[in-house]
Amino acid sequence: MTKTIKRSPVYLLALGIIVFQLAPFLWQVITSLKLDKDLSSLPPIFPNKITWLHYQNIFQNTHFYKYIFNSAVVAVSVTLLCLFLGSLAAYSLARLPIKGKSLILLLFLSTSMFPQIAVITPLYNLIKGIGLYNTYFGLILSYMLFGLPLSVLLLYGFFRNIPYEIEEAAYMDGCGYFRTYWQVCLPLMAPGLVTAGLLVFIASWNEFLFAITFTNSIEAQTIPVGIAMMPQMFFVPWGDTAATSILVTLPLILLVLIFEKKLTQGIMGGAVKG
Amino acid sequence: MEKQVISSTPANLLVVEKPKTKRKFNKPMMIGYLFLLPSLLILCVVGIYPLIQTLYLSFFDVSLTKQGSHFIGLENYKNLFNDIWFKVAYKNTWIFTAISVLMESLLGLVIALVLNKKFKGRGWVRACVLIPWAIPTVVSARMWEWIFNAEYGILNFLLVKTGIIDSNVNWLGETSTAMFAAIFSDVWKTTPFMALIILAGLQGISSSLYEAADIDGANKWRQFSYITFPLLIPSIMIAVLLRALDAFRVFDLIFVLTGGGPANSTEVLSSYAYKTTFSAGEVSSGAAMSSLMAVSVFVLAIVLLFLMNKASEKIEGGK
Amino acid sequence: MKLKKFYILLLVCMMIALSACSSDQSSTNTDGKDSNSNVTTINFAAIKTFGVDSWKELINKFEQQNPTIKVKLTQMPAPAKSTEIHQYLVTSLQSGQSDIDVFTGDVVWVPEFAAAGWTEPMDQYVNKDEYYPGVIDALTYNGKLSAMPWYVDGGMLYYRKDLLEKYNKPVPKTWDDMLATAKEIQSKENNPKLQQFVWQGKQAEVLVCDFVEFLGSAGGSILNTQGKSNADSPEFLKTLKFMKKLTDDKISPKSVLTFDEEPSRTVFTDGNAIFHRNWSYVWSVAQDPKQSKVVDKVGVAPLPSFDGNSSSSTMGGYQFMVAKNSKKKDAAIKFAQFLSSKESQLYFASELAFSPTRPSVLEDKGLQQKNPFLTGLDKVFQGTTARPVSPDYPKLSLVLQSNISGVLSNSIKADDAAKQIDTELKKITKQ
Repeated sequence: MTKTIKRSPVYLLALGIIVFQLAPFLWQVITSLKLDKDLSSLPPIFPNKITWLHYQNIFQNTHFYKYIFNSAVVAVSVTLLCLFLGSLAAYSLARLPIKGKSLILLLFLSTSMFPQIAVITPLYNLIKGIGLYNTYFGLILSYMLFGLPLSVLLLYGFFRNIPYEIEEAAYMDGCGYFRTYWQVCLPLMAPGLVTAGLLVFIASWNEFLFAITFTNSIEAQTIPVGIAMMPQMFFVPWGDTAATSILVTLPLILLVLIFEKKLTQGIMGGAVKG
Repeated sequence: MEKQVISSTPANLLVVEKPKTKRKFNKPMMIGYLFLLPSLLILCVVGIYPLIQTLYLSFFDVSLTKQGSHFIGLENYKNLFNDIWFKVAYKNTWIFTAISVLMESLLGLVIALVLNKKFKGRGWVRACVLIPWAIPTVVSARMWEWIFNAEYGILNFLLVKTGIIDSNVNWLGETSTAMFAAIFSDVWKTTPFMALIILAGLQGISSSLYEAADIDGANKWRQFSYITFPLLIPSIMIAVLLRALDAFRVFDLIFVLTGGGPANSTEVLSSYAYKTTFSAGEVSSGAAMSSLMAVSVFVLAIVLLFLMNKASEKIEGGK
Repeated sequence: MKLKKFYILLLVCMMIALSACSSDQSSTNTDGKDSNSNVTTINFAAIKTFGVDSWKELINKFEQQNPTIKVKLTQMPAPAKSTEIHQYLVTSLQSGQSDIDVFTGDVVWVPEFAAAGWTEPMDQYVNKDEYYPGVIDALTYNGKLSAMPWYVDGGMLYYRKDLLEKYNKPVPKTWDDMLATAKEIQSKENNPKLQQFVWQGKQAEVLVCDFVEFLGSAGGSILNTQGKSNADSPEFLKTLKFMKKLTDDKISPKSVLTFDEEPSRTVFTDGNAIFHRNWSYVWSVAQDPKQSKVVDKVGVAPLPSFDGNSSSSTMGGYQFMVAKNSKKKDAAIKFAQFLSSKESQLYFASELAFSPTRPSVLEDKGLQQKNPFLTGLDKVFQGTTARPVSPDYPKLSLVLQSNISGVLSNSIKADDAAKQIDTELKKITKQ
C-alpha cells in the first residue's frame, strides 16, 4: 500500500502523459464513430448515434488492403535494410580503425540537411531513368535517404555504450570482426536496434512526398497516398479519413507492444556476469 | 590492434578514437571500409548526387516559364537577401526549430524517465506514447486544424468552459498565435521520437550505479544530476541533433495546417522553397533556397555538436 | 567470416529483388506499339472525381469506339489536393521522361504549362464556336488554344432559404442587401453559433478566387486588358477594405482566415451560417442527409455585387491537355477530342453534375429534368471570370495571397497592401 502511495507521482505523471498524447487521438476515434454531419458540433463531444459506416466504407474499398500491403512491404524492407547496413556502418565507425571517421560521420549527417523538396526532382529523374518508377524498389531506395543516416547515427551512439570488455573477450576467443558484430554486438544492441527500427519503420509508413511523386498506380502506392486519394472533388470524407487513420495506426501500436520488452531491456542484460 | 580502453561511461560522443595501428592500410581498416561501403554507396546515389545537382542548378536561371538557361553565378543568392518573404521564412524556421526542440527535449526527458520506472501497464503507456508519432502527418495536421478552430474547436471550448480565457482565440488565424499553434502540434507529434531515444539511453545506465548511490545515501535528485543526466548526454545529444535537423526542414505539418499563413507568419524555408520551385516555377531560385538551408543546418549541427562537447567535458571534469 | 557476410548480403538482396519483381512490370511500358499487333496504349493522368473508379465507363466507351487504342489510367488525387497534382505534373513533365500522353489540369495552369512547352496546341482539333468564348479565351496562350475544354466551375452564393422565407427576405442581389438581411436574421435567431457569411480566407489559392469575385463585383480586375497591373485602382482598395470589414465587423467568424473549401462548407451544412460562398460541389453535399443538417433548406444564387455592377464568379474547372512530347499524339488527340465531345460532356453533366463548357449540352431536355440545379445556374457558369491568363499566374497568385492575408490578419494596412501588390505585379508583368 505504501509502495503505491510512494509511486503515485509516477502514476500521476503517467496519466498526464497518456492524456496529453492520447487526447487528440481519442478525438479522432470519436470522429470516426460519428456521422459526418455531427463532425464539428460541440457540444456534445460524444456522438448521439454511433455509426460503423466509416469503417465499413474502408473495408469495402478494396484498394485499402493493397495500400496497406504496399506500405508494409516497403516499410519492412526499408527497416531491415537500414538496420543491417546501418549497424554494419555504425559498428565499423565505433570500433574499427577507420581513417576519416569524423568526415564520414559528417557525410551521413549532411544527407539529412537538404529538404526533401531539394532532392525530389533529381531523384525523380534518377528513378525514372533506371526504370524503378512505380515499383517497391524505387520507394525503398529513396527511403534510404532518411533511413540510413538515422540508423547509422542512432546505432553509432548505442554501439559506443557497449563496454569493450565483451568484444575483447570475443576477439580473444578467436572471433573475426563480422562474427563479433553479428553474434556478440548485435544481440547486446537489441534495444538500440528496436528503437532505430521503430523510428525508421514509422517514417517509411507515413512518408508522403516521395510516395506520391514516385508512384502512379495502386501497384506501388502506399497508405499516405491512399489517404490523399480520399477526397472527392473538394469534399473530404472526414469520418472515413479518421477511421483510416485509426486503422493504419493500429499495426504500429501492435509493433510497439510486440517489441516492447526488447525496447527496454538493459544493454548489459546479464552479458558480463561471467 | 592495440587494446583501447574505452570507458563504459562514454560521456563524450565526439571523441573519435584514433587508429593506433602502425601500418597505413591493414586488415581491420579494410574491413571497416568494407562495412561502410554499401551505406555510403547508397547515400551517394540517392543523397549526394541529387544534392550536387540541386546545388549546380542554383547557379543558373532555370525557370518553368523561360526556355533555356544561363549561368548566373551567385545572383540567385543575392536576390534572396533582398527577398522579404525569404527573410521571414528564415526567421520563422529558426524560431520554430529552437522552441520546438527545446520543448520536445524537456517533455521527452520527463516521459522517458517515467517510462523507465517499473509500474503496472507500462507497456501500454509506452505504446500510447508512440501514437502521435505514428499518425500520418497529413491526418494529424487536419486534426489539429479542427482542434484549434476558433469557433468550433475543442481547445477553445475547454479553455472557455474552465474559465482560462474569456473569449475564443483565433489560434490559426492570428499572426501572433499561429506559430505557437504550429509548434504545439509539432511538439505533440514528435515528442515520442525524443522520448524513445532518451529511453534507450536510460536503459544503458547500469543499475549497479544506482545501487551504489543508494548505499552511499544519495537522494533521488542527486542521483539524477550526478548519475542519470551526465550518462544521458550522448543520447540527448543525438536526439536533439536529429530532431533539430528535422525541425529545420519541417514541411508537411506547415503545409497542411496553415499553408504558411496567415500573412506568412508560419511560412518556413521548406514551404517557401516548395512554393518557389513548384508554384512559381522558379526552379533555380528554389534550388538556391535549399542550398542555403543546407548550409544553415550544417552550421547548426556544428554549433550543437560543439556546445554539447563542451557541456559534456564540463560534466566529465566535474565528476 | 567474410563469406558469411556475403551470403547474408546476398539473401537480403534477393529478398528485395523478389519484392521488386512482384510489383508492377508494365507501368514502364513506353513503347509506341504493344507487342499485341497494332494496339496503341496511351497514358492518361486524370484527377479523381467521384467514386472509386470514376473513369472506367468513359474509358470503356472510348476503347469500344476505337479498338486500336487502349487507355491506361494514372489516377491523381482530387482537386482538393490541387497543390499535389500540380507538383506531380510539373515534376513529371519537366523531367522530359514523362510518359503521360493526356492529362487533366486546372484552368489556371494552362498558360503556365503552355509557356513551358508542355502542351500541344489544339486549335485545329476543335471547333471553337461550340464552346463558351470565355473558356476558350482562358485556355489560349500566345494565340494558341492550349487545352481541350472539359468542365467549368464557379463560385456561387448558398443561402438558407428556410431562414430567408421565415423572415420574408428576398435573395440578395447586392452586398449591402446581403449584409443587412444577414444581420437581421442573426439578431432575431437565438443561435449564438449562427454566422452571417462564411467564405474562404486561408492563405491559399482559394483566397484569390474569393478575392476575384469581390473585386469583379466591384467592377475591378487584377490585371487590365493590356495585361498590366490594375492594383492601383480604387476598386482594388475598396475590395480589400470590404473583405477586412467582413471579419472586423463580425459578419464572418474569425476562423474564416483559416478556412479553405471544406472547413467553410462544414460550418454551413452544420446549419451554422446564413450565407456561404463556395464552388458547385456544396449543392449535392448539402442535400445528403449523411453529411448535412440542412437538407432541403438550401438555395443557390449568383453571388451579390456592389451597387451598379454585375455579379462575378471565379472560373474554375479542370481541362484536358495533350503532352507536347507524347509519342502517340494521334491516339492522344483522339482521346482528348472524345473527352471533350458533346456526348462526354453530357455524361459528366448528368452523372457527376459537372457544368459543361459547351452551351449546347445545357439545352438537353433530359439533363434539364435530371439536374435543374445545373441548368438553372447556366448564367453563372457562362459568365465566370477568369483569373489572369498568364504563365506568371502562379507567381501573381502567391503575391496576392501573402498580401491579402496580411490585410485580413491586420498585419498590413489595406492601402499599403494595395501599393505592395501593385509594385510586385508591375515587376512580374514586365518580364
